[in-house]
Amino acid sequence: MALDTNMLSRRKLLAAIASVTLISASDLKAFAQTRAKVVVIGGGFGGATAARFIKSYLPNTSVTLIEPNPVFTACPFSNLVIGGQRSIADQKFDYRSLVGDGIEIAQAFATDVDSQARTVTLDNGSILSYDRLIMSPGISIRWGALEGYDRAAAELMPHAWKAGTQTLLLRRQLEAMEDGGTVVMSAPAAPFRCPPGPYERASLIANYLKTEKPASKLIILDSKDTFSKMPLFQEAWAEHYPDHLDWRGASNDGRVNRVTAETKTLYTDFDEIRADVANVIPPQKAGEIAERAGVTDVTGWCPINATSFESSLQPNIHVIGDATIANPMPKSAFSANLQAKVCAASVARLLSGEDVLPTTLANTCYSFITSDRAVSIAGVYRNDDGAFSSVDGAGGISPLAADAEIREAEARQAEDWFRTITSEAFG
Amino acid sequence: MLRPISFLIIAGALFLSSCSTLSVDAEVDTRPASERNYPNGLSVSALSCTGCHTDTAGQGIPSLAGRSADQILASLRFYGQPDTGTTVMHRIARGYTDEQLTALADYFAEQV
Repeated sequence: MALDTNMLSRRKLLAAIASVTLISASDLKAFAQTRAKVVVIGGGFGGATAARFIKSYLPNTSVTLIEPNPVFTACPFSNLVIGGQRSIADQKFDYRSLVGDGIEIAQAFATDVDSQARTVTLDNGSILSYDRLIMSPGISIRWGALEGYDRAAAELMPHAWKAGTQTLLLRRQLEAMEDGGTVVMSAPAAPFRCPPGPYERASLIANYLKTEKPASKLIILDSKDTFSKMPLFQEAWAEHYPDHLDWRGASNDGRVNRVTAETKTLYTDFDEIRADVANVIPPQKAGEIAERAGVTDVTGWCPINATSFESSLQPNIHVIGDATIANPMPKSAFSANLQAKVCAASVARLLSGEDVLPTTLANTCYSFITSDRAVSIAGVYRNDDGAFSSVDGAGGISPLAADAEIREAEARQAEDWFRTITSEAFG
Repeated sequence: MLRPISFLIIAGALFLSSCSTLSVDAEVDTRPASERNYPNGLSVSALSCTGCHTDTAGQGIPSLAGRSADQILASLRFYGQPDTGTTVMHRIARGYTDEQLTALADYFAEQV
């Protein structure tokens, strides 16, 4: 960080003062670093939260959030839009509160990161320099990893795994489908964004079919034999959708190898299934800028130090959210938001010349099983010595065979969670 | 709360005027940077809680505002019992030691 001579002489004066008072060396460092530059890439649950908390911890720090979209569309609760219970307008959040907090918004794509020069290049030609970079790039689709599934195919067989136009495309296809039709979902192998997400979506699509198009059916073709909250979903499906939902696991020829978008056909090892509406949730990796920044490994995801959230591969770059390898913490909005807050605390400490400290982290994910009932999974984690670990004896899923009141209470808690977390991220 | 910069300016002025040894540590904010400057010094371990709990009550998640440390701790200890419970709090509270639960209860009681 550049200090002009005026600042330096002032620093010497302050050092002299420190020698006769009780100001510690770290206080002086904290003073010197308060004008540091922090750049955040990505305005989702991770990035927006990180920008706000950095600004709160170090008010004199310059914080710039790089995000091309003026409005964020949230993935959590977007399955309710697909199921017909919620408006997409309720999923949208802008950055006005962040501007009010004193955060600069660069409405552009980050096209490159130079970790040696500590700069980010934007598609509008500007170059931003940083002392610390926080990347929250989310996911990108591995186009072509599933044969036949490219960008054009996604217009016919939507993934709807990034909320917005894809969400509405899937909803409209379901609305347009005649009763008696077949909806097919393809769920990928782990890791992917929102582990219980495909099964919440399946529940809400089946709920729509049961109530609006009762002669129709949903088939889920899965590349796995087990999935998040599996006993809870299977219990709910048996109770609510015995005639409308059929799940086929990997060992029951459920793994989709290839698709033909024009005919909405999905191919497994031994079968081909023709869909009237097909929702292909494809294989994923970290958001594209992560690869260009050199923070991804061979898996396509980002290894990090769990205590500081610093990239294991590049200095002065921190990575949070779905893009990271943070298991046992899941790729959830709750995790992204919490990782953002803890990362912001770590960055504030580092910019102030202090050591990062481990802490206890939690995660909660609610999933709707009907329009007004939900189930949950929770976990508690530590991030000691740079690695995540689960705390023994904690965490787990909602009780099985619970009364409707318990499921309805969790649905109300889910609604509260969504309001609170979006308020913490976007104001 | 006195921020470092204002403290330093005040300390500097005193130093220049008297050149005497000052003892003003009561005014020095010695907390780590991550615990300064956020409203009332948000504790890092409490960050896991604030994604769900705000100062206004919802229809399903209670607010912690206006509750004493004893009330909050009693609830957390109840949730932390090994019996099967019905909410995420049962599964979360079991991941914390009694010392950690006490610190969280004290922290949230001071927030209101």
